Amino acid sequence: MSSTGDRTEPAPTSPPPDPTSYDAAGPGRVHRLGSAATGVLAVVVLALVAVVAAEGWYLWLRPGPVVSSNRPVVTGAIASQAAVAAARQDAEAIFSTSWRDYDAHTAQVTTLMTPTFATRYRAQAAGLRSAVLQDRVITQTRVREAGVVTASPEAVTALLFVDSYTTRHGSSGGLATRRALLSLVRNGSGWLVADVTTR
Amino acid sequence: LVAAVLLAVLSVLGGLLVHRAGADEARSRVQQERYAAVLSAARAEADAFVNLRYDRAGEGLRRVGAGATGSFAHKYGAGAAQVRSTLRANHSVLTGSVLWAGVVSVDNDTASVIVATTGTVSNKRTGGREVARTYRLRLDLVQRDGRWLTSSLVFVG
Repeated sequence: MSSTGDRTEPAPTSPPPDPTSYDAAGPGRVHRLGSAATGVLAVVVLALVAVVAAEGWYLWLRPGPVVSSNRPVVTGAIASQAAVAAARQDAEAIFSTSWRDYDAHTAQVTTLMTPTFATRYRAQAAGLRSAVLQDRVITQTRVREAGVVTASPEAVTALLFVDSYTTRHGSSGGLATRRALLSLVRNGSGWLVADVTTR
Repeated sequence: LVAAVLLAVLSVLGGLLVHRAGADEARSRVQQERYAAVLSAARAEADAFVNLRYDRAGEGLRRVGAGATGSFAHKYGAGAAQVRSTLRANHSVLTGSVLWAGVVSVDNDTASVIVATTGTVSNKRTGGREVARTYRLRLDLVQRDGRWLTSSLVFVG
């Protein structure tokens, strides 16, 4: 340290590091590399989130196939067969009637139907009631054949060949052979009859 | 970094599940399209069967035979002369259409389909008048060289 009179000059210090120099050492370089890696990692994470989301959509949220002329049945064979079996059972119950318990039968079979169809059925049953009671009509119905026309997880249409044997006042009223188309809709783990057409 | 590793594992597992779901869906699609194929074949055969005229018997019977195989084809092939002569002798005219058809069972090679038809018949017995005729048919089909052919056709009741 040199002194000139009473003034003291500060000792010279080393120059600050050049931030543009490759050879520059110190905390600045580490900070820049850390920022770049974090950015890449963020992009990778976002991309993986997108991939996982897409996979999740494909596996659980994608809409299933719909019934069409090329694919009239879009459920498994077991599911459609179970629905046709339900249609067979319901048809035999609905089309088998007796004058002895006509009202109770109507109340019971309407539990197999959607509310809309049940209303129609009750109206039709009410119209036939007096004739059935007067003639003491008993109808026993058996499904000869059943097949699936269309099937989806929510709705099934089944074709049934139905034989109905009728007695009036205990005497044979004859055998009626019919074709019936039953439409069923899913109700929880079971099915409800939504419509019946016979020809 | 931990999140990235977890997501990577999830995406690989998800990819495997997607691949398996895709294979399952392809198999299901084949099975489901089979229903359409057998229904189409059964409807065509039933339509041919309920549309026969004594004055165009050969044409009608050839149409039935084209969709048939086995004993059923034999009846409408080798046995067609007898069917043809019966149609001509009675001046029979059958006209009809398929109302409904449903699959009873189906697998890779065989199927059973029930068909409801509607239509009319006129012959000497009806005095030439058209009388309504509805049929309940059961067809058994087999797959031959990529085509579904009817091996049996019976009236139900």
